Amino acid sequence: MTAVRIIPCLDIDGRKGVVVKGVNFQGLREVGDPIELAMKYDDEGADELVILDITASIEDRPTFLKVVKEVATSVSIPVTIGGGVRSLEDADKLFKAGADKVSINTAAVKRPQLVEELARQYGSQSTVVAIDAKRIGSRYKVYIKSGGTPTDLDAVVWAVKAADLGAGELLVTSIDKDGTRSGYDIELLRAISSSVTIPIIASGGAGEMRHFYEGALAGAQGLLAASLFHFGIIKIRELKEYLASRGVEVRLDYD
Amino acid sequence: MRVAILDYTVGNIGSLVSALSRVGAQVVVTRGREIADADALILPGVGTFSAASALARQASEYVGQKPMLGICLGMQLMFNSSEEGEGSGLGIFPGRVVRIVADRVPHIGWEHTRSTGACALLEDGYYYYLHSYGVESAGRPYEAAYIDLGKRYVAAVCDEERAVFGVQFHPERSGKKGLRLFRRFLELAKG
Repeated sequence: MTAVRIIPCLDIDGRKGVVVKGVNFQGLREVGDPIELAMKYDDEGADELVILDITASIEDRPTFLKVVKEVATSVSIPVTIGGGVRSLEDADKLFKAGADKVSINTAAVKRPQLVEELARQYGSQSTVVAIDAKRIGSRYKVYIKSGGTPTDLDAVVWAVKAADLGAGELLVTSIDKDGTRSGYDIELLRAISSSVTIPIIASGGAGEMRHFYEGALAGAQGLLAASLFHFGIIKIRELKEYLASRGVEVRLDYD
Repeated sequence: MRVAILDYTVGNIGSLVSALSRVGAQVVVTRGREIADADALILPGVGTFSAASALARQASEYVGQKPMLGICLGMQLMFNSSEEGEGSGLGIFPGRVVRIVADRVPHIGWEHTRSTGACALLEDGYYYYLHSYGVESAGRPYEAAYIDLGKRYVAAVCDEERAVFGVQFHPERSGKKGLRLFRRFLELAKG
Protein backbone atom coordinates (compact mmCIF):
# COMPACT_ATOMS: atom_id res chain seq x y z
CA MET A 1 0.00 0.00 0.00
CA THR A 2 1.12 3.50 -0.78
CA ALA A 3 1.46 5.71 2.28
CA VAL A 4 -1.30 8.28 2.74
CA ARG A 5 0.19 11.71 2.07
CA ILE A 6 -0.04 14.69 4.40
CA ILE A 7 0.02 17.81 2.26
CA PRO A 8 0.34 21.37 3.58
CA CYS A 9 -1.04 23.92 1.14
CA LEU A 10 0.49 27.34 0.64
CA ASP A 11 -1.97 29.83 -0.83
CA ILE A 12 0.17 32.58 -2.29
CA ASP A 13 -0.75 36.16 -2.96
CA GLY A 14 0.95 36.25 -6.32
CA ARG A 15 1.47 40.00 -6.26
CA LYS A 16 3.25 40.10 -2.92
CA GLY A 17 4.76 36.61 -2.82
CA VAL A 18 3.43 35.85 0.66
CA VAL A 19 1.33 33.03 2.07
CA VAL A 20 -2.25 34.00 2.84
CA LYS A 21 -5.31 32.25 4.17
CA GLY A 22 -9.00 32.89 3.72
CA VAL A 23 -12.25 31.42 4.99
CA ASN A 24 -14.76 30.03 2.49
CA PHE A 25 -12.51 31.41 -0.25
CA GLN A 26 -12.81 34.97 1.10
CA GLY A 27 -11.25 37.42 3.55
CA LEU A 28 -7.51 36.95 3.13
CA ARG A 29 -4.89 37.48 5.79
CA GLU A 30 -1.13 37.13 5.55
CA VAL A 31 0.42 34.21 7.39
CA GLY A 32 4.05 34.03 6.41
CA ASP A 33 6.97 33.55 4.08
CA PRO A 34 6.51 30.70 1.58
CA ILE A 35 10.11 29.51 1.55
CA GLU A 36 10.41 29.43 5.32
CA LEU A 37 7.13 27.57 5.71
CA ALA A 38 7.95 25.11 2.92
CA MET A 39 11.31 24.21 4.45
CA LYS A 40 9.76 23.83 7.88
CA TYR A 41 7.10 21.45 6.55
CA ASP A 42 9.70 19.43 4.64
CA ASP A 43 11.65 19.06 7.89
CA GLU A 44 8.59 18.09 9.89
CA GLY A 45 7.69 15.27 7.52
CA ALA A 46 5.20 16.71 5.05
CA ASP A 47 4.91 14.30 2.11
CA GLU A 48 4.21 16.88 -0.59
CA LEU A 49 3.43 20.56 -0.91
CA VAL A 50 0.69 22.23 -2.88
CA ILE A 51 1.31 25.85 -3.84
CA LEU A 52 -1.52 27.87 -5.31
CA ASP A 53 -1.42 31.36 -6.74
CA ILE A 54 -4.80 32.62 -5.60
CA THR A 55 -4.48 36.03 -7.22
CA ALA A 56 -3.21 34.74 -10.52
CA SER A 57 -3.24 36.96 -13.51
CA ILE A 58 -0.69 37.18 -16.24
CA GLU A 59 1.05 40.36 -15.07
CA ASP A 60 1.45 38.91 -11.56
CA ARG A 61 3.35 35.87 -12.73
CA PRO A 62 7.01 36.88 -12.24
CA THR A 63 6.72 37.16 -8.45
CA PHE A 64 4.89 33.86 -8.20
CA LEU A 65 7.34 32.06 -10.50
CA LYS A 66 10.19 33.28 -8.34
CA VAL A 67 8.47 31.87 -5.25
CA VAL A 68 7.91 28.53 -7.00
CA LYS A 69 11.52 28.33 -8.04
CA GLU A 70 12.84 29.13 -4.59
CA VAL A 71 10.51 26.68 -2.87
CA ALA A 72 11.14 23.89 -5.37
CA THR A 73 14.90 24.12 -4.97
CA SER A 74 14.73 24.45 -1.17
CA VAL A 75 12.74 21.31 -0.38
CA SER A 76 13.34 17.60 -0.96
CA ILE A 77 9.69 16.63 -1.39
CA PRO A 78 7.44 17.06 -4.44
CA VAL A 79 5.54 20.25 -5.17
CA THR A 80 2.27 20.65 -7.04
CA ILE A 81 1.70 24.12 -8.44
CA GLY A 82 -1.56 25.68 -9.52
CA GLY A 83 -3.54 28.85 -9.94
CA GLY A 84 -4.34 30.65 -13.15
CA VAL A 85 -2.93 28.04 -15.53
CA ARG A 86 -4.70 28.62 -18.81
CA SER A 87 -2.45 27.06 -21.43
CA LEU A 88 0.37 24.63 -22.10
CA GLU A 89 2.73 27.62 -22.05
CA ASP A 90 1.61 28.57 -18.53
CA ALA A 91 2.15 24.98 -17.38
CA ASP A 92 5.53 24.85 -19.06
CA LYS A 93 6.66 27.91 -17.11
CA LEU A 94 5.65 26.24 -13.86
CA PHE A 95 7.39 22.96 -14.74
CA LYS A 96 10.52 24.88 -15.69
CA ALA A 97 10.32 26.73 -12.37
CA GLY A 98 10.38 23.40 -10.57
CA ALA A 99 6.85 22.01 -10.37
CA ASP A 100 6.63 18.23 -10.17
CA LYS A 101 2.92 18.40 -10.93
CA VAL A 102 0.78 21.18 -12.29
CA SER A 103 -2.82 21.68 -11.25
CA ILE A 104 -5.51 23.20 -13.46
CA ASN A 105 -9.02 24.20 -12.51
CA THR A 106 -11.02 26.88 -14.34
CA ALA A 107 -9.21 26.39 -17.66
CA ALA A 108 -9.92 22.64 -17.59
CA VAL A 109 -13.64 23.26 -17.19
CA LYS A 110 -13.66 25.83 -19.96
CA ARG A 111 -11.49 23.79 -22.32
CA PRO A 112 -11.31 20.12 -21.25
CA GLN A 113 -8.91 19.43 -24.12
CA LEU A 114 -6.21 21.20 -22.11
CA VAL A 115 -6.18 18.23 -19.71
CA GLU A 116 -5.47 15.94 -22.65
CA GLU A 117 -2.72 18.19 -23.97
CA LEU A 118 -1.02 18.43 -20.59
CA ALA A 119 -1.16 14.68 -20.05
CA ARG A 120 0.31 14.01 -23.48
CA GLN A 121 3.13 16.50 -22.99
CA TYR A 122 4.07 15.87 -19.36
CA GLY A 123 2.42 12.56 -18.54
CA SER A 124 -0.74 11.90 -16.55
CA GLN A 125 1.28 11.55 -13.38
CA SER A 126 2.12 15.26 -13.51
CA THR A 127 -1.33 16.47 -14.53
CA VAL A 128 -3.64 17.38 -11.65
CA VAL A 129 -7.20 18.61 -12.06
CA ALA A 130 -8.51 20.65 -9.14
CA ILE A 131 -12.24 20.52 -8.54
CA ASP A 132 -13.95 23.07 -6.29
CA ALA A 133 -17.34 21.68 -5.35
CA LYS A 134 -20.33 23.02 -3.47
CA ARG A 135 -23.29 21.05 -2.27
CA ILE A 136 -26.57 21.97 -3.95
CA GLY A 137 -29.39 19.78 -2.64
CA SER A 138 -28.27 16.18 -2.88
CA ARG A 139 -25.61 16.81 -5.53
CA TYR A 140 -22.31 18.61 -5.84
CA LYS A 141 -21.77 21.37 -8.35
CA VAL A 142 -18.45 22.46 -9.79
CA TYR A 143 -17.47 26.10 -9.20
CA ILE A 144 -14.73 27.91 -11.06
CA LYS A 145 -12.77 31.16 -10.71
CA SER A 146 -11.67 30.51 -7.13
CA GLY A 147 -15.10 29.31 -6.14
CA GLY A 148 -16.82 32.47 -7.35
CA THR A 149 -18.65 31.18 -10.40
CA PRO A 150 -21.04 28.23 -10.52
CA THR A 151 -21.12 25.91 -13.52
CA ASP A 152 -23.68 23.36 -14.65
CA LEU A 153 -21.22 20.53 -14.10
CA ASP A 154 -21.83 17.79 -11.57
CA ALA A 155 -18.63 17.26 -9.56
CA VAL A 156 -18.66 13.46 -9.81
CA VAL A 157 -19.40 13.50 -13.54
CA TRP A 158 -16.61 16.02 -14.08
CA ALA A 159 -14.18 13.96 -11.97
CA VAL A 160 -14.80 10.90 -14.15
CA LYS A 161 -14.40 12.93 -17.32
CA ALA A 162 -11.18 14.57 -16.12
CA ALA A 163 -9.72 11.15 -15.36
CA ASP A 164 -10.76 9.91 -18.81
CA LEU A 165 -9.06 12.91 -20.41
CA GLY A 166 -5.79 11.95 -18.73
CA ALA A 167 -5.71 13.67 -15.35
CA GLY A 168 -3.46 11.67 -13.06
CA GLU A 169 -4.78 13.06 -9.82
CA LEU A 170 -7.73 15.09 -8.53
CA LEU A 171 -7.52 17.81 -5.90
CA VAL A 172 -11.03 17.89 -4.47
CA THR A 173 -11.95 20.95 -2.43
CA SER A 174 -15.23 21.46 -0.66
CA ILE A 175 -16.18 25.14 -0.82
CA ASP A 176 -18.70 24.64 1.99
CA LYS A 177 -16.07 23.19 4.31
CA ASP A 178 -13.04 25.28 3.39
CA GLY A 179 -11.72 27.19 6.41
CA THR A 180 -14.44 25.93 8.77
CA ARG A 181 -12.33 23.27 10.54
CA SER A 182 -15.43 21.08 10.76
CA GLY A 183 -13.98 18.16 8.80
CA TYR A 184 -13.61 17.20 5.14
CA ASP A 185 -16.78 16.70 3.10
CA ILE A 186 -16.78 12.93 3.48
CA GLU A 187 -19.72 12.31 1.20
CA LEU A 188 -18.09 14.26 -1.63
CA LEU A 189 -14.82 12.36 -1.17
CA ARG A 190 -16.58 8.99 -1.11
CA ALA A 191 -18.58 9.80 -4.23
CA ILE A 192 -15.51 10.82 -6.23
CA SER A 193 -13.11 8.26 -4.81
CA SER A 194 -15.43 5.39 -5.70
CA SER A 195 -15.98 6.72 -9.24
CA VAL A 196 -12.37 7.05 -10.39
CA THR A 197 -9.21 4.94 -10.20
CA ILE A 198 -6.72 7.81 -10.04
CA PRO A 199 -5.51 9.16 -6.68
CA ILE A 200 -7.48 11.94 -5.03
CA ILE A 201 -6.44 14.62 -2.56
CA ALA A 202 -8.97 15.77 0.02
CA SER A 203 -9.10 19.49 0.68
CA GLY A 204 -11.19 21.90 2.73
CA GLY A 205 -12.34 21.58 6.30
CA ALA A 206 -9.72 19.63 8.26
CA GLY A 207 -9.76 20.93 11.84
CA GLU A 208 -8.52 18.12 14.03
CA MET A 209 -6.57 14.89 13.68
CA ARG A 210 -9.71 12.77 13.54
CA HIS A 211 -10.72 14.53 10.32
CA PHE A 212 -7.60 13.30 8.53
CA TYR A 213 -8.40 9.76 9.61
CA GLU A 214 -11.93 10.16 8.25
CA GLY A 215 -10.56 11.51 4.98
CA ALA A 216 -8.30 8.49 4.59
CA LEU A 217 -11.22 6.16 5.32
CA ALA A 218 -13.28 7.98 2.69
CA GLY A 219 -10.71 6.91 0.12
CA ALA A 220 -8.39 9.91 -0.23
CA GLN A 221 -4.71 9.19 -0.94
CA GLY A 222 -3.66 12.71 0.00
CA LEU A 223 -4.93 14.87 2.86
CA LEU A 224 -4.47 18.59 2.46
CA ALA A 225 -4.71 21.38 5.00
CA ALA A 226 -3.41 24.91 5.31
CA SER A 227 -4.19 27.07 8.34
CA LEU A 228 -4.00 24.13 10.76
CA PHE A 229 -0.35 23.72 9.90
CA HIS A 230 0.41 27.43 9.41
CA PHE A 231 -0.88 28.29 12.87
CA GLY A 232 0.70 25.26 14.52
CA ILE A 233 -2.64 23.83 15.65
CA ILE A 234 -1.57 20.39 14.45
CA LYS A 235 2.02 19.18 14.17
CA ILE A 236 2.71 16.91 11.21
CA ARG A 237 4.73 14.37 13.21
CA GLU A 238 1.96 14.01 15.81
CA LEU A 239 -0.66 13.73 13.11
CA LYS A 240 1.26 10.97 11.36
CA GLU A 241 1.81 9.07 14.59
CA TYR A 242 -1.88 9.36 15.35
CA LEU A 243 -2.79 8.02 11.89
CA ALA A 244 -0.28 5.18 12.20
CA SER A 245 -1.76 4.23 15.59
CA ARG A 246 -5.14 3.92 13.89
CA GLY A 247 -3.74 1.64 11.21
CA VAL A 248 -3.27 4.14 8.38
CA GLU A 249 0.00 3.67 6.50
CA VAL A 250 2.10 6.84 6.67
CA ARG A 251 5.74 7.69 6.06
CA LEU A 252 7.55 8.21 9.35
CA ASP A 253 11.14 7.40 8.35
CA TYR A 254 12.15 10.88 7.20
CA ASP A 255 15.12 11.65 9.45
CA MET B 1 32.86 15.72 -9.16
CA ARG B 2 31.19 16.57 -12.48
CA VAL B 3 27.82 15.03 -13.16
CA ALA B 4 26.13 15.26 -16.55
CA ILE B 5 22.35 15.09 -16.74
CA LEU B 6 21.25 13.91 -20.15
CA ASP B 7 18.88 16.51 -21.54
CA TYR B 8 16.16 14.74 -23.53
CA THR B 9 13.05 16.36 -22.20
CA VAL B 10 10.91 19.37 -21.85
CA GLY B 11 9.82 19.83 -18.29
CA ASN B 12 11.36 19.87 -14.93
CA ILE B 13 14.83 18.76 -13.93
CA GLY B 14 15.35 21.72 -11.59
CA SER B 15 14.78 19.62 -8.49
CA LEU B 16 17.31 17.06 -9.70
CA VAL B 17 19.92 19.74 -10.38
CA SER B 18 19.45 21.32 -6.98
CA ALA B 19 19.51 17.97 -5.10
CA LEU B 20 22.77 16.99 -6.81
CA SER B 21 24.27 20.40 -6.12
CA ARG B 22 23.27 20.06 -2.49
CA VAL B 23 25.36 16.90 -2.15
CA GLY B 24 28.35 18.58 -3.73
CA ALA B 25 28.16 17.73 -7.42
CA GLN B 26 29.00 20.10 -10.21
CA VAL B 27 26.07 19.64 -12.55
CA VAL B 28 25.85 20.15 -16.28
CA VAL B 29 22.65 19.57 -18.24
CA THR B 30 23.60 18.56 -21.74
CA ARG B 31 23.01 16.42 -24.78
CA GLY B 32 26.42 17.10 -26.24
CA ARG B 33 30.15 16.72 -25.77
CA GLU B 34 30.15 17.58 -22.07
CA ILE B 35 28.96 14.04 -21.31
CA ALA B 36 32.36 12.69 -22.26
CA ASP B 37 34.08 15.01 -19.77
CA ALA B 38 31.77 14.20 -16.86
CA ASP B 39 32.62 11.76 -14.08
CA ALA B 40 29.12 10.34 -14.03
CA LEU B 41 25.96 10.39 -16.14
CA ILE B 42 22.32 10.66 -15.07
CA LEU B 43 19.29 9.80 -17.18
CA PRO B 44 16.52 11.88 -15.63
CA GLY B 45 12.93 10.93 -15.07
CA VAL B 46 10.49 13.18 -16.86
CA GLY B 47 8.87 12.90 -20.27
CA THR B 48 7.67 9.94 -22.30
CA PHE B 49 9.49 6.81 -23.46
CA SER B 50 9.15 7.45 -27.18
CA ALA B 51 10.20 11.09 -26.91
CA ALA B 52 13.29 10.24 -24.89
CA SER B 53 14.48 6.97 -26.42
CA ALA B 54 16.30 8.42 -29.43
CA LEU B 55 18.22 10.93 -27.34
CA ALA B 56 18.96 8.37 -24.65
CA ARG B 57 20.77 6.18 -27.14
CA GLN B 58 23.97 8.19 -26.88
CA ALA B 59 24.27 6.97 -23.28
CA SER B 60 25.10 3.51 -24.67
CA GLU B 61 28.68 4.33 -25.44
CA TYR B 62 29.34 5.22 -21.80
CA VAL B 63 28.04 1.98 -20.28
CA GLY B 64 30.94 0.52 -18.32
CA GLN B 65 32.95 3.71 -18.97
CA LYS B 66 31.44 5.89 -16.30
CA PRO B 67 28.90 5.39 -13.52
CA MET B 68 25.37 5.85 -14.70
CA LEU B 69 22.09 6.37 -12.84
CA GLY B 70 18.66 6.23 -14.45
CA ILE B 71 15.74 7.79 -12.60
CA CYS B 72 12.09 6.81 -13.22
CA LEU B 73 11.74 7.04 -17.02
CA GLY B 74 15.55 7.07 -17.04
CA MET B 75 15.53 3.62 -15.43
CA GLN B 76 12.86 2.41 -17.86
CA LEU B 77 15.03 3.51 -20.77
CA MET B 78 17.70 1.07 -19.56
CA PHE B 79 15.40 -1.85 -20.49
CA ASN B 80 14.58 -3.17 -23.96
CA SER B 81 11.25 -1.58 -24.79
CA SER B 82 8.07 -0.06 -23.38
CA GLU B 83 4.34 -0.37 -23.75
CA GLU B 84 4.21 3.41 -23.40
CA GLY B 85 5.38 4.00 -26.92
CA GLU B 86 7.63 3.45 -29.88
CA GLY B 87 11.39 3.36 -29.74
CA SER B 88 13.80 0.97 -28.18
CA GLY B 89 15.56 1.24 -24.87
CA LEU B 90 19.24 0.81 -24.17
CA GLY B 91 18.85 -2.89 -23.35
CA ILE B 92 21.29 -2.71 -20.45
CA PHE B 93 18.82 -4.77 -18.42
CA PRO B 94 16.54 -7.45 -19.84
CA GLY B 95 12.81 -6.75 -19.83
CA ARG B 96 9.92 -4.68 -21.03
CA VAL B 97 8.24 -1.69 -19.43
CA VAL B 98 4.49 -2.20 -18.94
CA ARG B 99 1.55 -0.16 -17.73
CA ILE B 100 1.10 -0.61 -13.98
CA VAL B 101 -1.82 -2.62 -12.67
CA ALA B 102 -2.82 -1.34 -9.22
CA ASP B 103 -5.79 0.04 -7.29
CA ARG B 104 -4.82 3.59 -8.26
CA VAL B 105 -2.87 4.48 -11.39
CA PRO B 106 -0.77 6.63 -11.76
CA HIS B 107 1.17 5.37 -8.79
CA ILE B 108 1.78 8.59 -6.86
CA GLY B 109 3.33 8.86 -3.45
CA TRP B 110 5.65 7.30 -0.90
CA GLU B 111 6.05 3.56 -1.15
CA HIS B 112 7.87 1.24 1.19
CA THR B 113 10.78 -0.03 -0.87
CA ARG B 114 12.47 -3.31 -0.05
CA SER B 115 16.07 -3.89 -0.96
CA THR B 116 17.16 -7.35 -2.10
CA GLY B 117 20.65 -6.53 -0.87
CA ALA B 118 22.08 -6.54 -4.38
CA CYS B 119 23.00 -2.87 -4.43
CA ALA B 120 25.07 -0.75 -2.08
CA LEU B 121 23.29 2.48 -3.08
CA LEU B 122 20.04 1.57 -1.41
CA GLU B 123 18.57 1.46 2.03
CA ASP B 124 15.09 0.14 2.85
CA GLY B 125 12.30 2.59 3.48
CA TYR B 126 9.94 5.07 1.86
CA TYR B 127 10.79 6.71 -1.45
CA TYR B 128 8.66 8.93 -3.68
CA TYR B 129 7.13 7.48 -6.87
CA LEU B 130 5.35 9.29 -9.70
CA HIS B 131 4.67 6.98 -12.66
CA SER B 132 2.12 5.02 -14.70
CA TYR B 133 4.55 2.48 -16.17
CA GLY B 134 6.90 0.04 -14.52
CA VAL B 135 8.94 -3.14 -14.85
CA GLU B 136 7.62 -6.40 -13.41
CA SER B 137 10.93 -8.21 -13.24
CA ALA B 138 14.54 -7.47 -14.06
CA GLY B 139 15.76 -10.94 -13.22
CA ARG B 140 18.75 -11.95 -11.18
CA PRO B 141 21.24 -10.64 -10.41
CA TYR B 142 20.08 -7.17 -11.43
CA GLU B 143 16.99 -6.61 -9.34
CA ALA B 144 18.07 -4.54 -6.34
CA ALA B 145 14.77 -3.47 -4.79
CA TYR B 146 11.08 -3.89 -5.31
CA ILE B 147 7.70 -2.52 -4.26
CA ASP B 148 4.43 -4.33 -3.77
CA LEU B 149 1.36 -2.69 -5.32
CA GLY B 150 -0.69 -5.86 -5.08
CA LYS B 151 1.60 -6.90 -7.88
CA ARG B 152 5.36 -6.67 -7.52
CA TYR B 153 7.33 -4.04 -9.45
CA VAL B 154 11.02 -3.29 -9.78
CA ALA B 155 12.10 -0.34 -7.61
CA ALA B 156 15.80 -0.48 -8.41
CA VAL B 157 18.21 -2.31 -10.67
CA CYS B 158 21.95 -2.43 -10.57
CA ASP B 159 24.93 -3.86 -12.30
CA GLU B 160 27.78 -2.99 -9.99
CA GLU B 161 30.41 -4.37 -12.36
CA ARG B 162 29.50 -1.84 -15.04
CA ALA B 163 28.39 0.74 -12.41
CA VAL B 164 24.96 1.10 -13.97
CA PHE B 165 22.04 1.82 -11.64
CA GLY B 166 18.39 2.52 -12.13
CA VAL B 167 15.68 3.58 -9.68
CA GLN B 168 11.96 3.79 -10.39
CA PHE B 169 11.45 6.35 -7.61
CA HIS B 170 12.66 9.96 -7.53
CA PRO B 171 15.64 10.35 -5.16
CA GLU B 172 15.54 14.12 -5.73
CA ARG B 173 12.06 14.16 -4.18
CA SER B 174 12.61 11.46 -1.55
CA GLY B 175 13.76 13.55 1.37
CA LYS B 176 17.00 12.78 3.18
CA LYS B 177 17.03 9.17 1.99
CA GLY B 178 17.15 10.37 -1.59
CA LEU B 179 20.03 12.73 -0.87
CA ARG B 180 21.93 9.90 0.82
CA LEU B 181 21.47 7.78 -2.30
CA PHE B 182 22.95 10.56 -4.44
CA ARG B 183 25.84 10.90 -2.01
CA ARG B 184 26.63 7.19 -2.28
CA PHE B 185 26.38 7.36 -6.06
CA LEU B 186 28.88 10.23 -6.14
CA GLU B 187 31.27 8.36 -3.85
CA LEU B 188 31.09 5.45 -6.18
CA ALA B 189 31.84 7.71 -9.12
CA LYS B 190 34.88 9.00 -7.28
CA GLY B 191 36.12 5.44 -7.35
